[in-house]
Amino acid sequence: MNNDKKKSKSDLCSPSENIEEKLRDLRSMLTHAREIEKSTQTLVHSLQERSINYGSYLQQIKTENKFIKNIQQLENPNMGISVKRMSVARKQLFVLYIQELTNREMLSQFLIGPILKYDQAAPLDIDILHNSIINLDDVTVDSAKEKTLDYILKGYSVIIVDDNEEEYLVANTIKIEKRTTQSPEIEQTLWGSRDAFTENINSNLSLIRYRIKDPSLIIYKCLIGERTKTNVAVVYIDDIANQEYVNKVIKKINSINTDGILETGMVQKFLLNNTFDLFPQTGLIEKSATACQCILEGKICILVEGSNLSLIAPKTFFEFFVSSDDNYGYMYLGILAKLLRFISAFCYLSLSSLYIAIVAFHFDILPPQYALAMAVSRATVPFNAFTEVLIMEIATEILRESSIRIPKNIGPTIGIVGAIVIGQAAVSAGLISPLVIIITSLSTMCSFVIPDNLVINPFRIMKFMLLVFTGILGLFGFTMGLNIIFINLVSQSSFGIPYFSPLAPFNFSDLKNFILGDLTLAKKRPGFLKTPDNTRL
Amino acid sequence: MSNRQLAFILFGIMFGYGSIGLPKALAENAATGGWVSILIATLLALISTTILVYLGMTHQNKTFYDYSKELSEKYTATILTLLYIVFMFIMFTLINKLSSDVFKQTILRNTPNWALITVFLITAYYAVIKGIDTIARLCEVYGLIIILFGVVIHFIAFTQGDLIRMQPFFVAEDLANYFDGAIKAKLAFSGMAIFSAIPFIKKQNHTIYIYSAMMLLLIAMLYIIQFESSIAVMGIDSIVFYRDALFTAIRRVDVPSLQFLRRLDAIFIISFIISIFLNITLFVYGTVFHLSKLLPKVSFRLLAFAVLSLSFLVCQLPMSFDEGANLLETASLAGGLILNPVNLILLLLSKVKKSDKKVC
Amino acid sequence: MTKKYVSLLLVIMLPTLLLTGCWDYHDINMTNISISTGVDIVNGQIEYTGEVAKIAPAQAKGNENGGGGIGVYNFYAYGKDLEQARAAFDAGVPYPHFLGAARAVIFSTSYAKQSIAPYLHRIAQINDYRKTILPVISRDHPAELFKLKVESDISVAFLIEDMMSSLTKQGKAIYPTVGHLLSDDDIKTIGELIPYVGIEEGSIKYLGLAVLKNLKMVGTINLKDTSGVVYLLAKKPSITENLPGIENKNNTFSLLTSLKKRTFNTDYVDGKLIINIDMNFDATLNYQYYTESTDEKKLKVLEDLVAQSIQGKIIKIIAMSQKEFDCDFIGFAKYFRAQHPLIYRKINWEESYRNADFFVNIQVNIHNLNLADPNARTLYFK
Repeated sequence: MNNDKKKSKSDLCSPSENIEEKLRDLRSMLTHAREIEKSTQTLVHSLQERSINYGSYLQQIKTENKFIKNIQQLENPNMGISVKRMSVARKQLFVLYIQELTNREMLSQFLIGPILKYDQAAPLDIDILHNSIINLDDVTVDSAKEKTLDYILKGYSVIIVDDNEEEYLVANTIKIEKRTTQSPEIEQTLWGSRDAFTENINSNLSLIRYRIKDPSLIIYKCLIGERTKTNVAVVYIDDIANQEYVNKVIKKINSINTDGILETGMVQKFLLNNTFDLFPQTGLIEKSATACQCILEGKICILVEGSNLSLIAPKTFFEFFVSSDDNYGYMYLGILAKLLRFISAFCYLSLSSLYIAIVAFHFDILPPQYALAMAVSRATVPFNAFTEVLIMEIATEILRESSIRIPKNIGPTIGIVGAIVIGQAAVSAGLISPLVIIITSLSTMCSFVIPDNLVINPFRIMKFMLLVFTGILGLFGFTMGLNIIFINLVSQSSFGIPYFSPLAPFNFSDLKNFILGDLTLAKKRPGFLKTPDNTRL
Repeated sequence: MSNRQLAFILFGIMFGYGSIGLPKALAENAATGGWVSILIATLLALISTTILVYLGMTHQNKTFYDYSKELSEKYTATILTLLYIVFMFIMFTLINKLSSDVFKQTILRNTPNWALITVFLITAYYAVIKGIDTIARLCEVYGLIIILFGVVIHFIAFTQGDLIRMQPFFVAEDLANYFDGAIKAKLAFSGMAIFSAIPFIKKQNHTIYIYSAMMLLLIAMLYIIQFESSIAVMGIDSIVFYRDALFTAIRRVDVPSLQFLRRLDAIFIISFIISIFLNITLFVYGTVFHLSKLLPKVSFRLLAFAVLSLSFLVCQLPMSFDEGANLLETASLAGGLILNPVNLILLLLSKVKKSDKKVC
Repeated sequence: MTKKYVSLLLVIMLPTLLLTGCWDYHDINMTNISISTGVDIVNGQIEYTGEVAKIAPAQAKGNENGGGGIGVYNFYAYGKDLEQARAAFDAGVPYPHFLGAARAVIFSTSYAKQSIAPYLHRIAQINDYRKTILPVISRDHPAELFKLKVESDISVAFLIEDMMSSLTKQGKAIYPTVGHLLSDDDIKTIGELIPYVGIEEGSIKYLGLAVLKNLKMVGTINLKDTSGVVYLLAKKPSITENLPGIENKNNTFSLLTSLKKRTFNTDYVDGKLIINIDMNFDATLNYQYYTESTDEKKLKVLEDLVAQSIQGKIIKIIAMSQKEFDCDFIGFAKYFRAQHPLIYRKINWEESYRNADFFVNIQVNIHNLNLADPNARTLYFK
């Protein structure tokens, strides 16, 4: 830059006639140029300051080592690779790592520390480093030059000896931010273990391994996501799970072609790709004990790095209604609970529609007293029953949706506001009949009875469909609406298993085991899973 | 397809529309001995079901068009399959039209007929394109529900009726009338034709004879319970005046101790709607399946859509309920009279072929 | 692609076709809920009266009794025949009718004498009318009945229906429904019985039974004579029989009978109809006016006396049906038809019934003294 300015100065001087004038011009231009220079300098300075990152230091290293050169070529300034340069026993060593991914305490204590303390006569080389110096368990020797960057990006530390162009060392110093194992949030049981999965796939796998010490427990690992390179593990027991389903699942997982997988739900989305199936065919499980139980049953569990939920496939409709403690709790209570859950699901789906069918179409199916009571309860309501129910259903859905988003510490307040405003005020203003309040709140309560909430979500939509059907054609529309839902339900299959088993196709012993749900009585695994080893006891 | 599913398919296609007028038909022809007529009709139905099942079982994994082509020639097979198509088409179209009439007259007074017909047809279309597996599963679950509801409703109705109205149970001199009644009950026992559209597999279905016989017996039991409970409530002299005899009988029952279910209509209507839905769906499936055998190049969905649209148009033809009901009865009787001999001849032909092979 | 278009077409078609009208949609509070109807003949015109529920909102009633109240208002309409009266009624109401909540239908004596068949057939064929509704015949004009202020129940119809159903539950009356009447009428050879009510001392009372022949009223049976009918027809008759004391003439035994078994055996011998009525009762000695000691012998005598009393009542009723009303309102024809179907088809039932022989055989067992011990003694009295 300075050269340019000098050049321009000389250009200006030579042909001048009116020197005075030109000198003045020149001076002003000079000051101007100085200003420009100053500002560019500050700009450059600030730019340099900003980019005093580890990458720039990496670029400054002058070496002929091909590994380093390779990284220097690939490296983009903001990747953030740190380099620790050491000169020990006449040897130049480089440790490459990424600060954010690396356990730096471990790095300096067990890797850099011992190396710097090296005072033997023998020249330092990869073998000595590997075998006698580095205090870490997971250290390997590699020679592939294209893999170095991958290692670094995963959080490993790569140790390169300057004059060794054949091999380098890779040390596992991965640091991962993780929660400690906590109690489950969505899958709550009264009598059950409290260890839920966390976002760390390894600790999740360790939770499963810890419970199932079977040598044939298989953990199939693969990487998916072009950019995220997420670890996904498929866990099953080799001689229990049906190989056909396992292959289907693995094939589907391997065929996932996307740039990023961040959650279990994303994998689930790719596993099920029929848009017209209304109901979920896989289960999301949070508790490790439940996951193990499913694996023992012959199912396949899919764990995704960075997600605290595991995926269970295949899953049939009825299994959504089983809570894990049904199997070892008091048997008769389990039967009652399952019955209650089915009744609740039915109520949630149909209570408001039935109300419309009765109040607006077939009041003659009710005994006279009930008909009169209904008429009285609706006496002041200005809307017709259909509108009334629709308003209330939408209001409860709003309350429900908002209660998920509301910060925890003001949640109860909003609950009270919702209850008072919508319940009390609407009734006393005569806008909504008390019966509708009872029906909508009861049906909302019903929806929380089902242990696995995934299955309730389709009901939330279909409830409105049923409402419209009933509003048009009364009990006939109601029945046909249920019919359509039902056809969809029985036509589905989860990885080849009929979704409505064991009721359709009917299997008596499976159905018995499902209803009783008692561990000691169910001697066989469910037949529809077609497990090679089907005896449990 | 398991035996159980096949049996429930039989249940699904038989039990439904035929039951609503059955008490009237039996009371007219066989008075209180109607149950004998039902048993005779069951026996007749058992024979024709067995013939069809036998044909299906001797020709593994084949349906009517395939084996009739094998036993005769392509031209005859096409005509015979067309017979089935026409029969099933008339059956489901009329069942749809008449049951929509019944619903219109009883629960939805102002709703136009075409709305009910359309809803039935569209739902049936949805089920049919999902395939026979879905329909079979549907039959299994709905069958259980219908049986359960039927038994409960009619046992409750029994408690409200008079035993004396059901007597005399049997009059030997009326035997001829009982046979008349059995022929009138044909409508309630038509539908085994669906077995012509379902392939059998010997390994899985070798006990299907027993299953179908048991299922027919179960259907007969249900009909008997329905018939006896409705005449216990209304008496044969009164029931003959009502074309929707079963429904009328249910509406005459009121059990105060059941609280809000004291009037049984709601449950009955629901189970009746789903049983009629099964009737229609299975007949539609049979029609479309046979048609797709004749026209293998056209997609199943398109055929189903075409058949249902045609059925919708036929339903719009002006026809009084009585005309329709008489036509349906005639169609079911004619179907039985034409299709059973056809099946019997095919059966004999296959026997002959078998023995030919043995001789060779 | 065509597949997709077809399903898309269907998805669009269904709602558009259906949403063009909610044909049958009608809210319950936008109907006239009929509680009862009364049919009468006044000055040669049909008078059509009844009660319609007045649906009061919960607040309007104030806080006295909490919830909302159901009141009724009466209506009156006149016309040359039933249809005209009906049309006159329809012309003055705000909403369409809903008949499914009707509790009772009340006929006046003058209308019943003409025949209640038209109205019953109307109930039978109109879909929302319940067929289990209670028909009654009123001695006084239904209009006057409806004018009475009922203190003990919501309205007149509720009172009548509750009264009859509770009496029937106790085994002291019969509760025929419209459905029963129609079924019996269709048999052609038998008559029917309907509760008969009227105003006594300013309130509505159950007065007995009205006898119908081919749905035309031919006479009435007084309340005190109805126990014979109840013994013959009720599902579980349970009637108090009072007998004078055996030793102490001032005393009265009050016994509650309850039916154990009832069989009607019919026969047709030499052109004569024979009907055997066998009944077996259990009886409870409720109380005595004055305590009189009892022993087995005495109880035996009591049993005979009760049996005689019951027998007398039944014979009286049968005599009434054969002579006074000339109508088989108990419905023996049903039993005869069930037992001898072929003979029934040949004979003229009315003719044979008129001359039928009845054998009434009653057995009563008293083995329940209602936990009392009339034979008790102490050291101070014997």
